[in-house]
Amino acid sequence: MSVINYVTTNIFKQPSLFLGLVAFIGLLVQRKSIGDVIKGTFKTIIGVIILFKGVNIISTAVSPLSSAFSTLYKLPEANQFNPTGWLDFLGNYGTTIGIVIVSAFAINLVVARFTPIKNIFLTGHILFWMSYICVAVGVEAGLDGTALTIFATIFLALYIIIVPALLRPFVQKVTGTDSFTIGHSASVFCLIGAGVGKLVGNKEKSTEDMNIPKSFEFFRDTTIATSLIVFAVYIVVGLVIGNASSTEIFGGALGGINTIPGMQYDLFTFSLMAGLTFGAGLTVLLTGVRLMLGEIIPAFKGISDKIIPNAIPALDIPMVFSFAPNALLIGFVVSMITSILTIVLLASTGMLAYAVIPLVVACFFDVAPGAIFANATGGRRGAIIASIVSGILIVFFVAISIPAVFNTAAGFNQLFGGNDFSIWSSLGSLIGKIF
Amino acid sequence: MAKRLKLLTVCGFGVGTSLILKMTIEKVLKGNGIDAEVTNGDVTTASGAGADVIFTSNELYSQLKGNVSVPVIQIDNFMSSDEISEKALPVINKLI
Repeated sequence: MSVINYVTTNIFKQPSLFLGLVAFIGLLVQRKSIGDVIKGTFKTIIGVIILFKGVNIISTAVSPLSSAFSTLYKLPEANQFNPTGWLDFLGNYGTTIGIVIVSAFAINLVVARFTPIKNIFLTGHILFWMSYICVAVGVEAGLDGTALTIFATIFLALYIIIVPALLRPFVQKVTGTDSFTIGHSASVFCLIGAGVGKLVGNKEKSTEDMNIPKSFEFFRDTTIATSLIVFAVYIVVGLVIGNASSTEIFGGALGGINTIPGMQYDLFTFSLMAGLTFGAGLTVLLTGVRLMLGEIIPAFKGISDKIIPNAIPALDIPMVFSFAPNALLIGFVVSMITSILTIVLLASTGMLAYAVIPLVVACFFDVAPGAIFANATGGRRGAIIASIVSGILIVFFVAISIPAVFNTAAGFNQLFGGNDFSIWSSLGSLIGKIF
Repeated sequence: MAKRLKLLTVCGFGVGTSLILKMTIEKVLKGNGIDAEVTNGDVTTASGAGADVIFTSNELYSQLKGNVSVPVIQIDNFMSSDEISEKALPVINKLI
């Protein structure tokens, strides 16, 4: 008994060790060699540790921005959430998140085996963060222990089964094949894109017949594009709040970004370093995610291939990028502009009760793919109008989701939300209120 | 005993799509009895990864091509074993 006790109190409490255990079992199931099993298990554990560090760096790079926005919009104290609270939550509930992933995936397998819904969710990082959201929603509803695990598992299972199934016909329209569907947080914008395109567009005039200059290519390197935009946002916000406030808020945060000790504060250098520190954090985070999932996802796929031969995988959103790369760039630029305008407009009228900061990552990975779907149903006009609409909506989605998960995942939604994560945060909080 | 090849699959973030491509490549290699190490990564760090061959999608191809000195192979359908066999095996067999 003492062994079991030890494992549950020590190993299960450490998210990195727990996920290492999942990878270990997965590797054993795949009958890998001893060397590969050891290597894969440790890689996974190191990956989770790195992931947490990356999230920390990102947090320090953007929290001055949140403070600046709070000052700018004179947000009441009660509406300002703890910017690093979402990280602590991740640390405290990491193992629950892991258990929920494994259980929901098992349900996904059973459903695919015995019902006509054949999609298997294989986008690991979305599984991870959506599990995080489902657990957060459960905690906000006052659940804990087994009840929390069961609630979050059911909620996550619903998401990973239903949403890719809804997208499947549209993915077929975009790609011309039915060999896979999409399992990604961009789903809400893919559906909006397909709908708006159908309503207003003309399918004959595709975005892909346009010539986009080669010099825009670097935007495809998401890490660099994100860093540059964070840099630009800092400059703009710094100029808007004025020298005195920016010296106080940004100057006080010098220690958090990678600058030499004793640096004199100035807006340009600070903004540049903050933007690039964000990029560094993103690189670290993704390296961690890569190491963590590199072992677990092939195991998941191996199991699914064995049990359900006619399953189709629900995959990461870049699977559709190559079908309309121009639409993607148009979607990114257009939604970035409209979402920032929406934030400024709402904030200046005092309608924005929470700090919403420009959503670089979501505009690229969530709204922009929507333009690919809009192009498939409504061509150039469809892609542009859908991106304008989605760029406005994304701000509302974030603003609504922050109070829904105020004490748990608000900071996560502020950084990476506006997409399915925010929708499910809000939905879950509604359901949680019923319980 | 020839050296063990290092293959790299690349997508924008190096987390999702490149992992799918990696799994398909591993399947093809296994089917042909080739032993190689396949890793997935992102565009930013691809040039420093020290791979012998790089696989990527068409929208990242031109960007990568200019940054690395090793062969870059463009794959359209990451799920297709046939496409990968056709494009990759000649290159890999030359290197082994």
